[in-house]
Amino acid sequence: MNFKKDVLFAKKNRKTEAIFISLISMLFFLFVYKILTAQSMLSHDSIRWYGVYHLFADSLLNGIFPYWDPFDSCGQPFYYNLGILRLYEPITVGFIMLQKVFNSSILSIYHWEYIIRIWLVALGVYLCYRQTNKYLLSSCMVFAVFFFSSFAVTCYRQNGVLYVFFWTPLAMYFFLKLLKDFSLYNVIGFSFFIGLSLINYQGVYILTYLFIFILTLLINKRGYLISVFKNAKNLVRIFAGIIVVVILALPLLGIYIEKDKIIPSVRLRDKAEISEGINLAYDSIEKAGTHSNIADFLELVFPPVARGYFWHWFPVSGAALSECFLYIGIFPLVLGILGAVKSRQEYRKNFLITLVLVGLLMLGPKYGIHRLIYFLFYPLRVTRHMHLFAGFFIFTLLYFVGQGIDFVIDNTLAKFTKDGR
Amino acid sequence: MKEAFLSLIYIIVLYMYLSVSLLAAIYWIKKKKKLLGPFLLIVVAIAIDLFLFNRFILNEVVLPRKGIGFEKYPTPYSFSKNRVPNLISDNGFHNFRPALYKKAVAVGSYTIDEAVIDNHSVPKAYVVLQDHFSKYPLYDELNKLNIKQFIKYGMSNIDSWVIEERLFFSIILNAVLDGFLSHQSFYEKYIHLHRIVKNLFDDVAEGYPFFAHESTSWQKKEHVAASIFALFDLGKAPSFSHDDKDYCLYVGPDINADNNNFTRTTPDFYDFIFNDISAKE
Repeated sequence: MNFKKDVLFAKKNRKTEAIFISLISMLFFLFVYKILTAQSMLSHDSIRWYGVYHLFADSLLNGIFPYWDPFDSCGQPFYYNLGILRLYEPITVGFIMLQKVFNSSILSIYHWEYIIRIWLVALGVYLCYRQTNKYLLSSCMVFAVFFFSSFAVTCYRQNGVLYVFFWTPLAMYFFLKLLKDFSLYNVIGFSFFIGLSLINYQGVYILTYLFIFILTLLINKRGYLISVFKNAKNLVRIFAGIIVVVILALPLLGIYIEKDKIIPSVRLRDKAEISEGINLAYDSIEKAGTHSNIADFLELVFPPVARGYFWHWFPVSGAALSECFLYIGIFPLVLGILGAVKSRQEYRKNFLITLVLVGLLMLGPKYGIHRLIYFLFYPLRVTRHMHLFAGFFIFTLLYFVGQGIDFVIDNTLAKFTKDGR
Repeated sequence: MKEAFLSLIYIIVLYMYLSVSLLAAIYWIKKKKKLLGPFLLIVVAIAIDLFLFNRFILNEVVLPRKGIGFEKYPTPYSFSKNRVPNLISDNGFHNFRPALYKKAVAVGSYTIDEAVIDNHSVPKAYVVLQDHFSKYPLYDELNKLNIKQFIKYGMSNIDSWVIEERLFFSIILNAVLDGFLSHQSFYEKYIHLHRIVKNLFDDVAEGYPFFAHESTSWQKKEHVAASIFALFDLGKAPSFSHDDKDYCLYVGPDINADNNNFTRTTPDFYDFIFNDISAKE
């Protein structure tokens, strides 16, 4: 085998891809073996919410569906909790059933599932960018960088980042395919992951991301978008997709119908700002939401190992850094910048604008974009933590990392070809 | 200052290493006309960068699990069908809220000697809702109970006990959920936890308020409350030095340690419940 030609710079090769994916995945599992073997555990929000999972799993294992939570507030409905930790999803139920096989503690099962979810996200990132990257090496590097980027690290302590982002890569995988081929398969695939996202309360984040991305398509894909809606067959497919979304999202929709009775009449009272009902007043989001800081973006070039020590050296206002890290590595960042500047891939503009807008959105109300999207995109009003878009930011940035590696390989190969090698 | 200096050194060395790797790779390609080696050099540099980043930060984002005793004891909260209120079987989902009201009203009717929550005796422990609920029945009920002590739980003061808040939180939460708090030899075996909790109560007893400032959801707070409830549930929570044994868990809003403003969402959940109850009554 010509290693350089067949492996390093191959464009698509399923067998080689499978080997690389397996090796990188094993490396990741090796890295988190302490979590998997019950020597370490997640922290912060990632473990504080564990009680919800424990009650759910414990009840299911005892043959009871937990409609009622007897521990909180001296007893309260448990039903509303199901949409918080993605408990509806088959992955959760499957892992809980594993407890019967391995006889492990629920705490261990929770950690296994959590790590597998991170792995699934990485796999989704790989599949998504496999479409846009030219070379196998680019896709594999993106896969590896994602595993060891800030995304996973943040997830170990902030489960919100994982849960809001979870199905995004796979939804985007089908969405990018839809832009090439508006087949029923792709429509259903896309709808399936959107529906799964909407079962849970965090669906707003992926919808907002898609909203931004679709807006950017008006720049260079207007013709295609119009042609899609002019085709009667496509309309039927879209209708089928909507049916899939609605069916999957029924648990959420059921609650949404009753939202005015379920959501507290005053949802948020913070520093004299009051929001009523499910929608948050803009001022409430500004004051009570958690947003990223300009200093967070400096972390892209300074590993967060320095967080807490250096950030105050820079002329940035605001309080402490967000708990969502953004570091993806220095070389990957350089490659990403290279990709942003040099790539000629057809979605470069779309991802670039999306990256900028999502970055500004993460900063919350201070910098304008949040206010604009808040008014343009109604669903954003139900959520207040803009820093949770960090996963989306890293995801978008990794598109450019892949493009950057593509560019380097293209140029190097061209040079070698020129030299007759 | 030492940490800042080490961080600076770390970043300088990292950048130097990456620069040298990049220059070496470029030199390798130009002079030696090789591809594989330079690419592997860059891949290794990326791997080392991210490995170091993960190694440093990993200690901050995961907790030790062994030695805390999470899995040594069976959970006391394994459900039997008798313990789960049969709310759903007859009328489906719509039966939830009426049941919730009923339950919440029932809380207000507990007396100090016979507080029972789902078959768990909770002696001398009550949930007090935020003081702006004074117009609601439960608060009046609790006022009659001659409550002497409000124990405000939270995390901001944990640091002063040289215990990381998340460790405390996780220990308490998981201890309760995994059941080892109910073990009789708990105080002997888990002296560190005993100390934490004892400090909590002692500090409060000595007049140091235990402010909360961080929690962002009512679920989290309730988990802590449930955890502390469980301590009471043992009937032998860490020895209290004061005579009066009427305790009250403060499960109201977080109180911002800096400005004493009421913040966060928890009270509104109760607001919703009790507003509705008041309306019905």
